[in-house]
Amino acid sequence: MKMKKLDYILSCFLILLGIAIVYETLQMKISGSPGGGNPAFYPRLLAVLLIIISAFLFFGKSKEEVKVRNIARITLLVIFFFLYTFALKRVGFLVSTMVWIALTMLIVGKKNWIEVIIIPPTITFLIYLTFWKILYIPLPQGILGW
Amino acid sequence: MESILPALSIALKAQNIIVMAVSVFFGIIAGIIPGLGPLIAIVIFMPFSFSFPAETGIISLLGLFIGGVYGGAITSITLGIPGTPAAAATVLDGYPMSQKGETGKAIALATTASVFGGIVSVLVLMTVAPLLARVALKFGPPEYTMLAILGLTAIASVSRESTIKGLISGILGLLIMTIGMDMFTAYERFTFGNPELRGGIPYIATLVGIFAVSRVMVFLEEEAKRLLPPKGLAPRFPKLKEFKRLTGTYIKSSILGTGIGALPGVGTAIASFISYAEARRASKHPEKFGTGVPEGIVAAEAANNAVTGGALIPMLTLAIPGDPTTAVLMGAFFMHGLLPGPRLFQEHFHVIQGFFIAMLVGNIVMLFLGMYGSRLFLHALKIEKRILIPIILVMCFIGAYSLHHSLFDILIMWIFGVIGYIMRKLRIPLAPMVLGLVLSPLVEQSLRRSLTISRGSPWIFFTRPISIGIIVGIIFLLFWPLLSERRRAIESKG
Repeated sequence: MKMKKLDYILSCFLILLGIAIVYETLQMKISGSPGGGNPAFYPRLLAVLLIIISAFLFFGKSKEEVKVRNIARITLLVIFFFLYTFALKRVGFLVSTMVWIALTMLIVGKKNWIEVIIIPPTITFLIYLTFWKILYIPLPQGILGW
Repeated sequence: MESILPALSIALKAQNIIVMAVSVFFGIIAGIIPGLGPLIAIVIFMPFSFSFPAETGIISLLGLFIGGVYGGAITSITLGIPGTPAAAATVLDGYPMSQKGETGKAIALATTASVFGGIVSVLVLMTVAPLLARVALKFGPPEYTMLAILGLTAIASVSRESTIKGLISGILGLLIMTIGMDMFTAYERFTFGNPELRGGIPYIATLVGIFAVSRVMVFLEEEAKRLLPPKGLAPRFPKLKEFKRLTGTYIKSSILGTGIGALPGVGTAIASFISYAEARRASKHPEKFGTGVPEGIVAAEAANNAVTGGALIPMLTLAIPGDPTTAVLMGAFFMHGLLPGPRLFQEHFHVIQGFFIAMLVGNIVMLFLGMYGSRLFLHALKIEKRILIPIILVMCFIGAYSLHHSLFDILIMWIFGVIGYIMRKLRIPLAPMVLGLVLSPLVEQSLRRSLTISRGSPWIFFTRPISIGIIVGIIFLLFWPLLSERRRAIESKG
């Protein structure tokens, strides 16, 4: 996809965003001088600057191409990010992390089953040791209690 | 002239040397993990430090500080992911140099620069602290506003991609931090009723997401099996000739970093970016910055470590913290019975001097740890991508999780990871957004305070000498590149 086209889309998006922010600040019930009393001032100022500069972007020029490779892998990775976070709450740290590391390893490279079975538990356990037992940082616990 | 012996006897006590060395080591590790860093390391370790005698406890925290600010450079150089915001400027030339096959050289430059900056700042701290503190006091809200704008303009102008996109990135960073409760009126901004957002966007999770997670996603695109180029890995001291050429950069950046660090509220990230921008401006080949230029690494790293000494100046002499990390350190001083303020130097002079000498020791230890210890780290990075990437992601998770122990932070991290990836694809530079995130509270606070003082008039920024000075600096920074290009064009014609 051409960069210039993306720039158009981006600048329109940003201009709309800026307008949305200004609108939102106008809804803020507190009014007053731009000093300490008005929480709307600073975001509004920034939003206006954003709109102006995005307009520059719109009328500027750029040449290159934008390429995205391996988009399937990346999309899977992202989906797993979010699934992992939800799993943490329900199933707890140990199990979720082991499964997640294993899945990520599979997405990222070739499948060497020995590594996939050994490494996730090892890493998970090391982290568990360091953070829970040594530094007393609580890790998410799920129904399985760990 | 007071004898230096009592101070030496504190600093050079075997247990204190060992503690300093060990804490520098752990500080470096904390710096390496994106999202951790000196602040969290100090916060986590502080309770343990109380079981040590006062001097040893403080020394351990200082070691974490020094090592932590440096450690971020290692991940910046090897992975293109800044381990700490302080190291975000180091990525700009550190990572390209590493990719060119000169990883070892980059690490050597970063290490020597950090150590140099650290030592210079401690020497300044030892000699002129009270004087500098008085100058720092002359900075009021208008000066801070302008300084923050200087920092942002510095990076926007320095990005290899268009300055326009740099400015957009910076403004977005500033805007993101407006979400949450307003600091002056407690009014909730842009929270849309979500209670998690009341405290604002968790800024560390955002940073880790934007830089580290997005970087990992980019790694997935690349076919290479390993993350590091195969050669040029061993850190080796730069040759004498190169050292000589870089001496000016070393010195200037260290002094700049110390000075900026001495300003309360301004920290490592801003110092490193301003220093980087200045090095680029002063260079004969500014267009080469961003391709792996030694000056770029030295400028960023010397300045950010110089903040470690500089930030202690207002903290010790005036009990005003230089940044969140020094604020926590100040708390540690209190709890160990050492009250910062003008009387600290009178009542506990030798102990304080002992700390300074210990910091010198710490910096020297860091030189060796950095040069030789990083080889170990580099070996670890030779592991294949498919094992390393999950490990990096888990480290990110830990980094983002440690502050609030909240899964909301983790969610934010992934979301900003995707945003960061999109930004990379659209060639929007990430560094200005980082600085925007870091600076936004400072900018808003100073701006609103300035306008309160001036009752709404913007003229306050133009009628105070230091403020005008900084504005001149901003204009200088923005237009110098254009002027020097014109001058060169005229010279080559004539």
